[in-house]
Amino acid sequence: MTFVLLAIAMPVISCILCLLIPKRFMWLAPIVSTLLMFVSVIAAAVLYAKGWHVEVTAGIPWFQAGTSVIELNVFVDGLTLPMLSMVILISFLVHLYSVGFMADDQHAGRYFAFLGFFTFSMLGLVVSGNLLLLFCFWELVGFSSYLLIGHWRERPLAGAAATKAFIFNRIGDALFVVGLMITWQFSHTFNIPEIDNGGWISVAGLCFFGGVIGKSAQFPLLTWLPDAMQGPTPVSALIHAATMVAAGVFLILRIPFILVPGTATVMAVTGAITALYGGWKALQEYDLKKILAWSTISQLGFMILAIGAGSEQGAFTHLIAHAFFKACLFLAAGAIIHSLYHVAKHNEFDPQDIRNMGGFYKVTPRLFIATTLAIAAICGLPLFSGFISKEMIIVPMFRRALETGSFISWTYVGVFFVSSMLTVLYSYRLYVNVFFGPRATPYADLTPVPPVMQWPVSLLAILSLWIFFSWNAGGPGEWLAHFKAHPGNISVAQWHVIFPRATIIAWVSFGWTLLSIALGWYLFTYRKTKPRESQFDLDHVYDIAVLTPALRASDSLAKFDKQGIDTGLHLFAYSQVAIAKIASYFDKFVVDGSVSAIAWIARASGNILRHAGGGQVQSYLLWSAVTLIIFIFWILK
Amino acid sequence: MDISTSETILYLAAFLFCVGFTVVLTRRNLIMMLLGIELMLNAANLNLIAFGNSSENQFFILFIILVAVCEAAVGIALVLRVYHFYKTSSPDQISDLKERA
Repeated sequence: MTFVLLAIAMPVISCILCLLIPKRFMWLAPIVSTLLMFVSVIAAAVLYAKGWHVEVTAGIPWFQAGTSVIELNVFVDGLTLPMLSMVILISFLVHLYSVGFMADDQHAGRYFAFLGFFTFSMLGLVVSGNLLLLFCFWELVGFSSYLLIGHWRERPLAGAAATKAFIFNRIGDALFVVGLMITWQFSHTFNIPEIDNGGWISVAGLCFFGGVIGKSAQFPLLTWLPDAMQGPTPVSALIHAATMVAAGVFLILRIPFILVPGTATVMAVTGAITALYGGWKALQEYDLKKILAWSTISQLGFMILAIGAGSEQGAFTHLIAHAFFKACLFLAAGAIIHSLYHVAKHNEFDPQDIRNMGGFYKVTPRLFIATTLAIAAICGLPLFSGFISKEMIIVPMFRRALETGSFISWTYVGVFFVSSMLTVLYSYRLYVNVFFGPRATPYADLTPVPPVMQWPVSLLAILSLWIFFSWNAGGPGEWLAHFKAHPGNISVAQWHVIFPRATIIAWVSFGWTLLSIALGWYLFTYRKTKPRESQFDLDHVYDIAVLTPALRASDSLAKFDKQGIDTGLHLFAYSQVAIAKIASYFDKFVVDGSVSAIAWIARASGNILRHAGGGQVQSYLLWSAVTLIIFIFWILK
Repeated sequence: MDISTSETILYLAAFLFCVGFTVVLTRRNLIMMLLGIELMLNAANLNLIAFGNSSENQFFILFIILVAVCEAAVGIALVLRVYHFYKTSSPDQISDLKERA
């Protein structure tokens, strides 16, 4: 528990320190925050050394709503710990890399502060023990992503991309909130282990999945991710490849009880569409970072498809594996762009366009080797993490397809193979275009890549090897593959025992990868196909389907507001004034009048009485005589 | 004195009183009003005679007449002062104590 809190606290301290450091000592900010992240890494290592099937639950009361107390609680189990360590490790490496990458940046302090803030939010998300707390961190993660995408605020495109990412995420998060409400209605608790998975769980699950769609860039809320590449490349590596976008996948695994059949089908179909669309777009893109972004979308769709099709363990393993090799690819891409940046600025070409690259294998051999390892991992070659995770995905998927024999299960298997072929194709195209072929730039003009940027890439490439995931290079062993997701899931190690076809599937998968590589060679090396830039873009669809109707609706609403509601309001106002006038007349004439009338009566009667007196002595005498006579008559009678 | 005589005197006294009172009520002159008052006083004296003609009564009446003369003198002196001050002797026009309407 102490170490969990220590690991989470370090990024916060880093954030605060970076914001407090005065401008003159700004060079301290990268060093301080990287060192603090290193402390976090050590804390995570200690947690690992303690054994990682440990479950930690602890909490203090947060606030009270009616009779129920919401806790600030921590829930660490076999799912959290690998995720926690992955986030901390990649965040540390990205911090280290940023020391080199952001060396010339004016606002490095702000950058490192936000990076620390993001890491804190992401760690909080991973360890939160209740859905409300998780949602808070979920929002903070989105917010820090917004801040970091817009880091280069002087670029209008960066600002637009940040806003787009923020808005797309809000759409999904609105559904998340609905899911929270439904959960509260039926369980009266947000504590993840205590949630009652009875009533309306499929609806709640779909709502949570809406949040996942936004956060993990699934169809249809996916176009924000390629735009988010406007941010600094280390940010793209950390947030938009390795950690934040994987938070959606993590969320589903955190609350696996939402995986009832209907919801699971929706997830699988969404994931399948995303995987295919992302892979297809990655094939047509020329911007190096955007290729990687579409690839990330495709891989995330792949994970969602795997979860929906019943391979949660595979999906999680793929999440971790993908985080390492995709972060490696992004950081390598960032290094290449960094080295091209000055010459590109001088000669006015785009440093991110892969048509302006080529022959990089000689320039930076270490980056070349690291990228080769990562590309091998993403393609799913044996001895790499991608092979293990892919096998862990396809085997249960295939088994379920054999068992149920339903059309949709076989479709999932088909999508799996098609999208892994697409993965191989775009990876091959990227790899060959960047590292081989004719040189587009003289080597002497390139900015050298500092070692502080090369080392994290190398380390991440090493982490793409099989040994960190399973001792068995050919299939799932006892390491990470053994995490606990679904109570009642079969143990991964037992697959090959109870499902003999697993080995055959592994070989088929391997053969399919080789076939894909051959196809890639044929298409991009032999035929030199230049993919046409696609006319079809989801953003245009949104413009036509959502934006235009929304604008039109708002126009007509504005008209209605002006003509209908305002007229009504004016009528109301006029009637108010009229009523006020009437009331004022009433007040003046009736209320005041009655008061005046009383005064007038008093005065008139006073006048009458006064005239009766009249001040005339003789009339006094007359009246007294009359009165006396009356009195006498009254007495004598 | 028999009953009929005293009755006649009573009628005369009543007549005198009424005349005096009418004079007091109707005349627009303070002196005439004083004269009316004297008439009413004498009507009262006549009443006193009508109810008993003894020497005590007669002395009492003489005493009253004496007092009435003094009173008339004081009254006329007052009326003269009023007349000098207001340049009128009509009681209606002497209205300093009256509230201005």
